[in-house]
Amino acid sequence: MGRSLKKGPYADPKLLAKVREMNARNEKKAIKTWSRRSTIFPDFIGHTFLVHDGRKHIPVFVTENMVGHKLGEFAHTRLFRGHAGQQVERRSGIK
Amino acid sequence: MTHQDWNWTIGEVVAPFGRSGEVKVRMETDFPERFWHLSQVCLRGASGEARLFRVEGVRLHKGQALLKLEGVDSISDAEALRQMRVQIRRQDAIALEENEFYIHDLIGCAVETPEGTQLGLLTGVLRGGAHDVYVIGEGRDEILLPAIREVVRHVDITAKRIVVTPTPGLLPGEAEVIL
Repeated sequence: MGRSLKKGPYADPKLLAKVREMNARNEKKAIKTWSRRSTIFPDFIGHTFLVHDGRKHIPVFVTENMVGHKLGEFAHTRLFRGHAGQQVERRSGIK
Repeated sequence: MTHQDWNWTIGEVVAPFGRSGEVKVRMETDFPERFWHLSQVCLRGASGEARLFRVEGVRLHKGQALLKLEGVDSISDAEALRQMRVQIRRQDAIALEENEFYIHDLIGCAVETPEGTQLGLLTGVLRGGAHDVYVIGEGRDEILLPAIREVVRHVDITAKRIVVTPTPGLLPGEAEVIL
């Protein structure tokens, strides 16, 4: 069930304050956070968050189409590394 | 036979399918449509033994490919191919677009800043999030960098070299911490 519209989206208050403070200073610096449940606000666009996946912090660069999603959606907690040593037809793109 | 140049993996035989010798293949490629155009494949076992097969038919079933190979006409023939890797020649790999690279080619590249500071060797690529993430180094010294244009400036696969400009905070110990 979704969160009540009356309350509005949730983001960790400290995280939100930090992003707004950095925006006011026009500063871009990666922010390390454990708050996977925080909703991505429009203020977050262009910032990089280091989101905890349970073991390490995954860098997540926020773009416009990620607004409204949670930070945790972009730092997967399960990882399949594939079979080592094989030349597999998997690609990686620079966005 | 070793068929050395048939080393580009596109799938793995997971089981026989049906009674006519078809094999079910888990696709390990970002281009599943390539299976429609296969004419010949190499099946390689864990110990390295390899056999070339002509492909007689391909169809899809529940997200997996069913291959009918020449000379494999019974369940027992197909059973012998279980867990073998389905491989093609590297030169038959799909050509990628600009700013796309095969992960196998990226692994082992030296990652450095424009000033020449060496960050380490690329050891892996994490996929599935907003963008890919390059893993540099291993263990406690591991550095994770997002594969975005603002960070990854230049990739030279031939020279095995990647030039990056990490945003402030991306290198260990630099980030703003929000507890």
